[in-house]
Amino acid sequence: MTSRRQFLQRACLATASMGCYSALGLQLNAFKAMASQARFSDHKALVCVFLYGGNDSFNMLIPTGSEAYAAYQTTRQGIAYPREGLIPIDLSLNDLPAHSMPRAMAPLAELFNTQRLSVVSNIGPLVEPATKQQLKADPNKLPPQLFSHNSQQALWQTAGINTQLGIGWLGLMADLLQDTQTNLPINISVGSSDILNSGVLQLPLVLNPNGPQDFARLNPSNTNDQQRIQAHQQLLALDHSPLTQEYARRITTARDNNEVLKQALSAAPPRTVNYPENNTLANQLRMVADMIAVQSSLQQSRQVFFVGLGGWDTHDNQPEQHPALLATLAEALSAFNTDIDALNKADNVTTVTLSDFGRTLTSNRDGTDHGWAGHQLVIGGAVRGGRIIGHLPEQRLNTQDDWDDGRIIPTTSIEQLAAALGAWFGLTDSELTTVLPNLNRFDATALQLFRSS
Amino acid sequence: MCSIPVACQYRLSGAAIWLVMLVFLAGCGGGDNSATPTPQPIAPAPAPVPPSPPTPQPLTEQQRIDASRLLTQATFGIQFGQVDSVAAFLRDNSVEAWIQAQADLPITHHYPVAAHLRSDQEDQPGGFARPHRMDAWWRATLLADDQLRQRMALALSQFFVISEHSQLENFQVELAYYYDVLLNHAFGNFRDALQEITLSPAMGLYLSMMGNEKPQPALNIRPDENFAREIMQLFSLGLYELEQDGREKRDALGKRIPTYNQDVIEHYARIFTGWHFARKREETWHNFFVGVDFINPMEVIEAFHDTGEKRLIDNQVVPAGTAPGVALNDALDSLFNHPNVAPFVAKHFIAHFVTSNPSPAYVKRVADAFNHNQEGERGDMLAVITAVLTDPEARDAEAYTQNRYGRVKQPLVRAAQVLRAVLPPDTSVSTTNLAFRELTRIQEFTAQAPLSAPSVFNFFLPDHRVNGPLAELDMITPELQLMTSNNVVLSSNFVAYVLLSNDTQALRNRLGIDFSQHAAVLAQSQDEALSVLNHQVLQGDMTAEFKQVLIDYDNQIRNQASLEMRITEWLTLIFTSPRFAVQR
Repeated sequence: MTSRRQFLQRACLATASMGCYSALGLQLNAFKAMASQARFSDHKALVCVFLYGGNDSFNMLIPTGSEAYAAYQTTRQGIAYPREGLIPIDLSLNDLPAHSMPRAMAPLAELFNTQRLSVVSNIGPLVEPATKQQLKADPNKLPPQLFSHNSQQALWQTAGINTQLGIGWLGLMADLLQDTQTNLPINISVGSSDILNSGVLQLPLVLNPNGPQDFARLNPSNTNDQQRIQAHQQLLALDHSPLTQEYARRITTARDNNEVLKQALSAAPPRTVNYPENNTLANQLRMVADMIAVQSSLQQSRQVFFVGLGGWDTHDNQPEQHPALLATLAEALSAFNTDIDALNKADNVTTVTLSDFGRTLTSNRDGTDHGWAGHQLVIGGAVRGGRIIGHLPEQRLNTQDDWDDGRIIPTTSIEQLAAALGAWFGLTDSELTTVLPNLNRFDATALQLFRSS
Repeated sequence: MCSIPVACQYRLSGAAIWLVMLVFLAGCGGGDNSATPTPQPIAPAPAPVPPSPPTPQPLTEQQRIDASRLLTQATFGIQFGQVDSVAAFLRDNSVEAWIQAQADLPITHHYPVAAHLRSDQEDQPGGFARPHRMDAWWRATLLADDQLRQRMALALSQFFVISEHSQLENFQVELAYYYDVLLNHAFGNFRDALQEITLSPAMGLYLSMMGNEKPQPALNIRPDENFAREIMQLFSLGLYELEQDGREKRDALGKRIPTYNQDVIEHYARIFTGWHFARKREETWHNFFVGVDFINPMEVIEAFHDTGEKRLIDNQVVPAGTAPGVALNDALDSLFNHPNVAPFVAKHFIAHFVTSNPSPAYVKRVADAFNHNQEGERGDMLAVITAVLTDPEARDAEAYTQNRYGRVKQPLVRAAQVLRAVLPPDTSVSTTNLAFRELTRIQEFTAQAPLSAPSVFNFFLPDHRVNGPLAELDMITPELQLMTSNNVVLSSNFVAYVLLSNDTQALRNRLGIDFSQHAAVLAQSQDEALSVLNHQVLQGDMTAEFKQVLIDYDNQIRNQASLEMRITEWLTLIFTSPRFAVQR
C-alpha cells in the first residue's frame, strides 16, 4: 500500500507541468504488476451524483421565520419559492432558525427528518480559507475561471489536482483501494463518465443503465461467432498507432469486463423496489444498486460510482424547471435509498451530490446566473443525519458572504468534503493528502459527517 | 421569408445526378456560393459543356490512397466505387480545386425536407417531429453531393452548439432550420455566421438571450449572462489568451492568462438585452407563445434594452443611447477582431477534420488563413477549410505516419461512413422513400445525434486526455471521451446491425443494400478485392498482416458462403477494426 501511495505522490499531481505525465506513465505497467492483497473485510460504496449545470441549491433550504422569509423573498424576488407548500424540516439537532425544503423535495425532507440525510452547506472551490476582504485584496486567492461551467466542474472533480491531467479525486481513491485480485475496475460510472472517476491506473468501467452491453455478431457466448471473433482479435492485436492501440484496448477490456459482469449480475438477487419511471437518474442508480448487490461475487470490497443528471443551468423559466429537477432528484435518491435498505446495505453506502456551483441570489427575472458556493446532500445510514453541516449564509445581498450580485463565497472547501468521505471510505491520512494535495490548507476534520463507528 | 417551397429536392433523377457529377468533376469555378439566408429551391443546373476528357492515364495506388484520405477527412465517407473518379480529378487538378468544386455545389438544405415530411405525414406543426429532422439529416449526409459543406455544418454545429436537450426539444423542425443556417455559412465569412447565430431564435432560446431584459436594481434583476459568457468562451475566444499558433500564452509567473473577466461578461450581457422573436411586441414580451417565429432573426424591442454605456473587450466604449443594433454590431466586431479567434477556430477545424494533436506551425498556417485570405479578407471560412485540408500536415505521408497523428472518428461520422460504403449511390432521396426514417434508430448505437449534445460544451471537451500510453505521448484525444467501454461495443454492434443482422434484412432491402457491387470485386480474386477495399474503405491503412488475417478468415468460410456473404464478412471485420475507428 505504501508503495502505491508513493507512486501516486511521485506523479506530481499538484504541479502544473505536463512533463510529469510521462514519468507517471512509464511506471504504470510496473506498478500494475504489483501484487495487492485484500485490504478490507467490510464493504463500502461511495456514490457521487453530479448535478450538471449548477443547482440553485440555496433554494433547497428556505428560511421560514416571518422576517427571514420576507428577507429571502426580497432578495430572490420571482425566483423565491412561495411559502405555501414548503416542507418543514426537523432542525432539533441544529442551532438554526426554522427552514423548509421545497415540496418537490418531500422524499428528501423525510430522509432529513429521519436522520438519514444531512446538508453540507455553503461549499465550493477555494484556494485557501479567506474572507471577502482578503479575496478582494488578492486575486491570487480566487480559484481560476470562477463561474465558468466546465472550469468549475473540473475544480469540483479534481479538488486541487492539476485539472489538465484529467484525473479526479474519486478515481485516485479507487486507484489506492483497488484490489488487484480482480481486474474489474472499482471506479464505475453509469451512463457516461467524467474526470471525477478517472484515476491514474485505470479507466472507469462505464455501464449502460441496462447493464453490460453484449457484442452482436462478435459475441463470445455465440458459437456461430467464434471464427469471426478469432479474426477480429487478430486484427485488434496488430500494432499500428497509439490511437488504434488504445481503441483496441477498449474493445478487449469491454469484452473481458462483460464476461465477469454478466456472470456476477446473473446471480443478483431479484429487485423488490420500484424506481420512478422516465427518470434518467433513477435508471442509473438502479444499475448502481445492482452492482452493489453483487459486490461480494465481484470481490469488490470498495466501490466508487459516478452518475449524473443534467439540466440545472436554469437561466430561464426557473420557477417551473427547478422544482421539476428537484423532484427528479428526490424521487431517484429516495428509491435508491429504499433499495439499499432492502439490500441490507444502509450503513455501507454513502451517496453525495456535487454540482458546478450554486447560483446567484439575484435573478434575470425568471432565471439565475452562475454563482460560487452552494449546498450538497449526503445520504446514508452511516451519515450523522438531520444536520446542516457548515455555515448557512443568509440569502441577502452585500453581506460578508456575498462576493457580488449574490454569488456566495464558500466557507467549506471541496477538499474538506472529499476528505470526510475518503476517511469514512478507509483511506489513511497520508493517502488523503495524496489524493487531495491542498488538504493541509484546510481543517481536514472539520466536517463531522459520519457517525463514529 | 418563412414560406418555403417543399419542391426543392436535391437530386430526383439519374440524369440530374450526372449533371451534378459533371459540374463536380470539372471543378469549374465561378459558381455562386454566396450564402443565402433562406433555403431556396434548387433548380436543376443548366448542362455545362463537358470539357474534353483528359488523356486517360492509369491511376497509381498512391493516388487512390490520397483520394481516399481526403474523402475520409472531408466527407461523410466514400461511396463504393467513388475513389477512382476523385483520384482522377485530383491528379488532373488539385485539392484546392476539389474544395472549390464542393463549395460551388448547390446547398442541400434540411429544413425543407423536414418541414415537408412533417406536413405530409403528421399534422403537428410546432410539434416534436424529431424523426423528420433526423430523416432530413441522414438523407443529406448519405446522399447529397455537397459533402464537404455537410461536414462543415456538422463541425459548425459542434462549435456554435445548440441542442435538443433543452427547451428546443419541442422545436425539432426548427432545429433543422438552424442547421441550414450553418450550411449556408459553411464557406462564408465567420463574422456573418457569428451575427446570424447570435440572432437565431433557436440559439436565443437555447442560451436565453431571447427575452433577456435590462436591469431593474430595485428587483435585483440583472441581465442574463448566459449568452455573453458562452459566445466568448465557446463561440469565439476561449478561456485563455492564445498565440497565433494555438499555444496558451503565459504571464511572467508562467500562468495562463484569462481572455476576459466577469466584468467584461456583464457589459456584453447588457448589450444582449432587448432581443426576442421578430414577431414579438412589447406587450407580448412576457408571453412566449405569442409571436413564435423560429425562422426570422430575432429583433430588438427597445423598452427592454439596456441603453447605458458599455465597455467592450478591446476597451472601446459603446456610448449611452447607442442604437441596440449598432451596439450589437460593435460587440460582435470586437469579438471577431480579437487575436484569439483565428487560432481558436483553426484548432477546432483541424481537430474536427484532420488530427487531434496538430503541430503549432500547422495551427498557425490555418490561423493565418483566417486572418487574411488571398484578398486580405478576415474570417473567410473557405480559406480556413482550404488551409486545413491542403496543409502538408493533412496530406503528406511524412506527417500522417507520425506516432501522434490522427483522430478517433466521431461515432456519428463513423456510422455514416459505414452506410455510405454499402448504400447504392443511386438510392432515391425522394421524400416518398421512407426508409430513412428507420435510420433514426442509429442513435442507439452512436450515443450521438446532430444537434443533440448534452450541453453547450458539445459531446466531448476539446482538451480531453486519457491516462496511459496516450498521456505519455502528451496526446489530447477529444473523441475518446465518447468511446466508453459501453460505446465501443455499441459502435461495433452498429456494423452488425447494418451488415449482418437477420432482423435488419428488411431495412437493407428498403435501402437497396445488397452488396452485389462489392461482391463483384471479390469475384475476380481475393487480392483484387482487398486492394480495392484498402482504398475504398480503409484509406490505405491495410497492411500485409491485416490482409493476411482477412484472407485466412475467408479461406475458412468460402466453401459455405456466397460472394455477398464473404464480402460482407470482410466488411464487418474492417468496420469493427480499430483502424477504421481511427482516421490517419
